[in-house]
Amino acid sequence: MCPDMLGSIPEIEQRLAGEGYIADRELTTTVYLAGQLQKPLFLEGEPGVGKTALAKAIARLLDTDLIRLQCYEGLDAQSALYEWNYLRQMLEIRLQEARGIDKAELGRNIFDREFLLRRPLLQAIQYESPRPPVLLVDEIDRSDEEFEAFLLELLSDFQITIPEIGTIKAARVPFVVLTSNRTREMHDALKRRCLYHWIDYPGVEKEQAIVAVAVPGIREQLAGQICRFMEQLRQQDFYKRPGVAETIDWANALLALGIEDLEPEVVKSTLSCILKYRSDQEKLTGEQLQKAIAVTKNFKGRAVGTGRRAAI
Amino acid sequence: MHSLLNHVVRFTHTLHDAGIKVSSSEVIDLCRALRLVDIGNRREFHAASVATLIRTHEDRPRFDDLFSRYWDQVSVPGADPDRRADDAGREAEPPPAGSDPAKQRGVSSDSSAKQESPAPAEREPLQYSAQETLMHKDIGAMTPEELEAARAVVGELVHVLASYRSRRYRSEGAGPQLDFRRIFRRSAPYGEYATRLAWRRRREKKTRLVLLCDVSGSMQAYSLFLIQFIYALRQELPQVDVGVFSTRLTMITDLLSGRDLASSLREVAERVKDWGSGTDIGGCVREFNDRHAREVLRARTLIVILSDGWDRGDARLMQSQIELLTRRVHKLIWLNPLLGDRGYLPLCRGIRTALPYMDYFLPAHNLDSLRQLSRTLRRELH
Repeated sequence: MCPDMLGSIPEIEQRLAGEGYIADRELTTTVYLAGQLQKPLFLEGEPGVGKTALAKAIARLLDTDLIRLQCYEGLDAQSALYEWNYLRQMLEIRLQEARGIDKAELGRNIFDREFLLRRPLLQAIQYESPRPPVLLVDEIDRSDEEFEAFLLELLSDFQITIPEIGTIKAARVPFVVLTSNRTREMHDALKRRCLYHWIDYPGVEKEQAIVAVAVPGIREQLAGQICRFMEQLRQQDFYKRPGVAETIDWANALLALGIEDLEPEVVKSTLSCILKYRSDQEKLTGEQLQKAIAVTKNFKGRAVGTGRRAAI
Repeated sequence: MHSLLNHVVRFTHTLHDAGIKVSSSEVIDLCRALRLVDIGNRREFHAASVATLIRTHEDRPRFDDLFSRYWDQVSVPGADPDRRADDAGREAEPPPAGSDPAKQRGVSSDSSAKQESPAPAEREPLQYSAQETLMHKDIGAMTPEELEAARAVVGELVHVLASYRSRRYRSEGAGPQLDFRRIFRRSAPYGEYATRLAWRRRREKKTRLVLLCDVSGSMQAYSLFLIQFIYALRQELPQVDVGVFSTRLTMITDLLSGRDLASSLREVAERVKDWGSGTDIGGCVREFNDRHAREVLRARTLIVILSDGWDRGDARLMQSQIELLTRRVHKLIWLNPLLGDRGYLPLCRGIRTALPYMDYFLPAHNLDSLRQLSRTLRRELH
């Protein structure tokens, strides 16, 4: 990719914010370096902290396409890279026969590029535009080791060989983002190819800024309550702790319901936005819920004038 | 620039001494990155180091500590001290007067060693001798005939597991998908297309095996036999992960690949400090879930727990942790040596807690019971 398209570090921070992604200096520095050094960005973190969203924001910032490869166990090269369109090849031969084409010429063209089904990785390599795409390899931890090894090879020289056609090399190196939820540890060799960044849950202030950008029209008071409530939830021991994505869903839901103030009943009836397992929902019962909301509200009371100290 | 390079290399050595592995390609990456950021700006310098040198989030606190110890003490050429102080997230330590970098390196690596969590047990080589003799005594208790018989059973077991591995590439037969490549290849000699359909199916996935073995006091009588068994299994089948637990969980997979059983056992005894003590199954399973699960578990993992279920930990913790574990594994097999007794009833609390989550509850007290295990595994793996 063209190193200068991203701009300087403060510019990236600003432009990401313009795209609705609030990033701190460390993350923007890493993004900048990934662009400059042309290295893939390896993002790890709990589900819902904004790993995929960052890739999308970078694509918008670069004004280019996002090519996404969703990983799953059993993902193989055929569904990730390319496959021949056998049915079209077969039809082509039939058509040529019907047209009475000379036998020696028959089927000469069926291993042409037009019969190639291009899957995400090939799309990213063969991308024909002055602006290289953003390639998002999402949830790499869900793929198996064989695929990981394959990806390692691809990411080191950005070229692939199709026996019938030859070697295709990327004209411009795409901006690659890999994400992992850490259901398993990725191999060191893959990580070594990349710049590593761990995305943590945001603090209250940062999360409030995110909500303000992502949910236009939300009142500041409600947004603050939501974020403080979420921060408390994350300190508890749930099977699946809610991420920023859940916060945004929840804020959207509360806005749609016309709610202006967090009350236990409101939280209870919208709990499915933030806790996705029944056992987790059961953990947040009456007393604990009351307490969490009380803390959320008390904070607000004290926040007038002494907000900073209360935050600490 | 040379002096900066020097410091970068020294710094990475410091990291290495503290257990954060850094390869030379990463040092090169860092150097390239440092040309691009403002190295006078502490935050950017730090971010560039983090992005290029760290590969796992767990190293981060240690890294940050070492980073500030090292870089807040040296003067980097081109750095403006005032700005550095502004940018510093925390207070920089005052640089010791006239300190030379080599000395500093010694200081930082020493203190980092002191600070390190007690997890890597190889740092305390003085505690193991009593346990070591105990384990050797145990080995002596097994007659050569018994050993030979155990080997045979393990051989059988391994055969089950290994033959499964070779079969997973067999992909023909009546699969759910048409295999066009093969259809055309087959029909080529006849000049027609699709004379015979060929099918393909997704390759079977590897099933992995994780063994967690209870080595608490109540299991002492069986532990020798089981460790022997595990050792033999691990020798033949590298994709088995092994942990032992009583009050703490210790993964010993890496120790069991050596050639010599006695020295392997010595290393195990060195690492496992709580051999023969009480049992906290819930806490140990939690430790497994938190620290090791993502490294060793795949979607199709069989987990085998060897324990009599005498548990002195928190029963509710145990229940929730075992439930969590079973969500992530394919099958849970519980081996209980007491199950060999006629008239044994699973009454003790630990077993009652775990019983609803087990897929199999099998005895493990002698060779016959291991044969039964190999039959069960055979069913599960094929």
